[in-house]
Amino acid sequence: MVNAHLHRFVDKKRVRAAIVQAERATDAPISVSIVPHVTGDVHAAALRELHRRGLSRAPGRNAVHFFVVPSRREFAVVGDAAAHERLGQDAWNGVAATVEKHFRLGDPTAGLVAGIEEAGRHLAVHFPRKPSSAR
Amino acid sequence: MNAVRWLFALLVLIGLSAAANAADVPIPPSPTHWATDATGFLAPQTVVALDARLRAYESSSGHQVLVYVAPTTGATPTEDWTVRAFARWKVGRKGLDDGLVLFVFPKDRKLRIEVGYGLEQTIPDATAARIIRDITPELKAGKPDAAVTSGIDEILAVLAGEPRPARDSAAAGKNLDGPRASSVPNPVPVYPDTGSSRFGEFFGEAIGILIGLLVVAGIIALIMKLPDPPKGAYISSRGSGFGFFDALNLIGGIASIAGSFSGGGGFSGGGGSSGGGGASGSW
Amino acid sequence: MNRGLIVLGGFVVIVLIAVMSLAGTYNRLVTLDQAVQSQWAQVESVYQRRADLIPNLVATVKGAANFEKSTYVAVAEARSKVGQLNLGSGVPNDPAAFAKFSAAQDGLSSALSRLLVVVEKYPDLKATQNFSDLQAQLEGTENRIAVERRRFNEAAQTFNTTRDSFPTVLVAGFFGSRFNEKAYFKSQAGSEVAPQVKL
Repeated sequence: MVNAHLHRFVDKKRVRAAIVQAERATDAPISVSIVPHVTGDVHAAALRELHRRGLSRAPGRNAVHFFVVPSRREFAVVGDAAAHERLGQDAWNGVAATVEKHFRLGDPTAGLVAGIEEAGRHLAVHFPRKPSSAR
Repeated sequence: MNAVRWLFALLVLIGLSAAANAADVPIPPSPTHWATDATGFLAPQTVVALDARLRAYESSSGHQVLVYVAPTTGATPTEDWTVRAFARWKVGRKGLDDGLVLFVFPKDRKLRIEVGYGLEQTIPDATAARIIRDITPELKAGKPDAAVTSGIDEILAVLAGEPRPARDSAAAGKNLDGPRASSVPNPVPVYPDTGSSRFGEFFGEAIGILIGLLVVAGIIALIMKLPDPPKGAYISSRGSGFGFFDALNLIGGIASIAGSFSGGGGFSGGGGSSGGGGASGSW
Repeated sequence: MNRGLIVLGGFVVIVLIAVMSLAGTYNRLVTLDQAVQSQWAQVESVYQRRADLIPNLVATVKGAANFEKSTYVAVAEARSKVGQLNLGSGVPNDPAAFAKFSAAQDGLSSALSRLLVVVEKYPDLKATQNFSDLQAQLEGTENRIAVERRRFNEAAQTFNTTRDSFPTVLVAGFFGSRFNEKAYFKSQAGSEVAPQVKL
């Protein structure tokens, strides 16, 4: 398998479970991508990925995406237009700090899980899931 | 319901046209006896006697001599039909082509001796013509059994090397067919029927088309400057995946439709083959 | 894995496949061409056989009293025209040479059939053993010629069909006259009409 190390970087099951849990309270889609290499600005690449994955097509324009580049030991957390507008830069800073703390300790899985949970709490406030919306 | 009617009409039309083409009598499959007569032209005991005699002749000499009586050759000229039948039945031994068939077509009132390549030196055209001339009067007189039997008598005698009585002694000597027959080279297969060439055809065609498509796809990709496919891991609530475009699937699909199998050639030259030697007559 | 290396490897694979495909096509053409050439040898052989019968025929006919000279002279001339053909070995590949050959042989066929019609007027000549043997030989040879011509046309057709199909046609043109389209024997113009003899 190509880039197997990327798939082993985190425990995908746990991360996915965290996403599912967080998305129960919000209708904003949350996702993670772990890529082998990025040339140039990681943040800009994260935003490109948001568009490429089709996440910017979410109805509420409230998608949140975690973008990790292990080869450069960098990551970025980006949100779509409405998400950024409502949550504000402070929220992103907080989430990033949480993720970074765990990454530095050598536990990327925990970092992502914690970051997802925190982002999920913010999103639940601003974009709560309406009971009728189908999933 | 309408479609069924159309289909039925089409089938009837095909059937009728096939019947119309039946004016061309198709070459029947190889006969199973040395003497064949489905028309009742010869008496049954004659057929049985000839069959036994020719079978014995073949086991003693190796040459395959047949008698074949069919009503007509249809729209095809007699010589055309007989040479095709001779080739299809592969009369005579492979490589030696030492076969001979006495054909009689009562409805056409035509007869022909078709001689295989290997026997042309022993029974050249002139001899075959003489034999036909000798038995034609008996056919005209309405004595088919005597005619065919004496014809076979003569043929077997010539094959055995007994000198034929010449009516005009001036004919003895110059026999152009003798030495000339050896200059006719052994018949070679018209369509070499080797399995490897067929596989080569298929392979070549398929690969040719495949390459063409790949080149076109490559050019289009270059022109469009497709962005790099997304790489690495991707996790979302909908599941995790590889996220890269599997180009191999597309190629596999193209390969399965590419290639047309064009069929190889006709018959192989083994067995008996006649170059059209022999003689014909009518009564 | 260096992406450049993958692209190069892919390119090499494609080139290899192209070369193999080319070889397969070439070999196929060679095989079919050989079939045509060997069948051509058969055709030449039976035509030669006919030419060899002519001197004897002319001598026999000359001997008959008062036989119309012009008829057998025409046959002798047509035969020498055929004998003078010196077309070399590539006749099936060369449409011009093929046409020349065909025309010369057809000329001899016409002269012969006129002669045989005239012979009908000389029943004594016709009845002789010598002549009837010759006639049998001629008929046999004409039949053989017809058979070998038909087989040549079939071989040529197989060759032409493969040669002209795509993508084989691209390969064939590359090798020059060797894989030219083969010509076919056509039935003689006017052969459906039996020659009329002025009485």
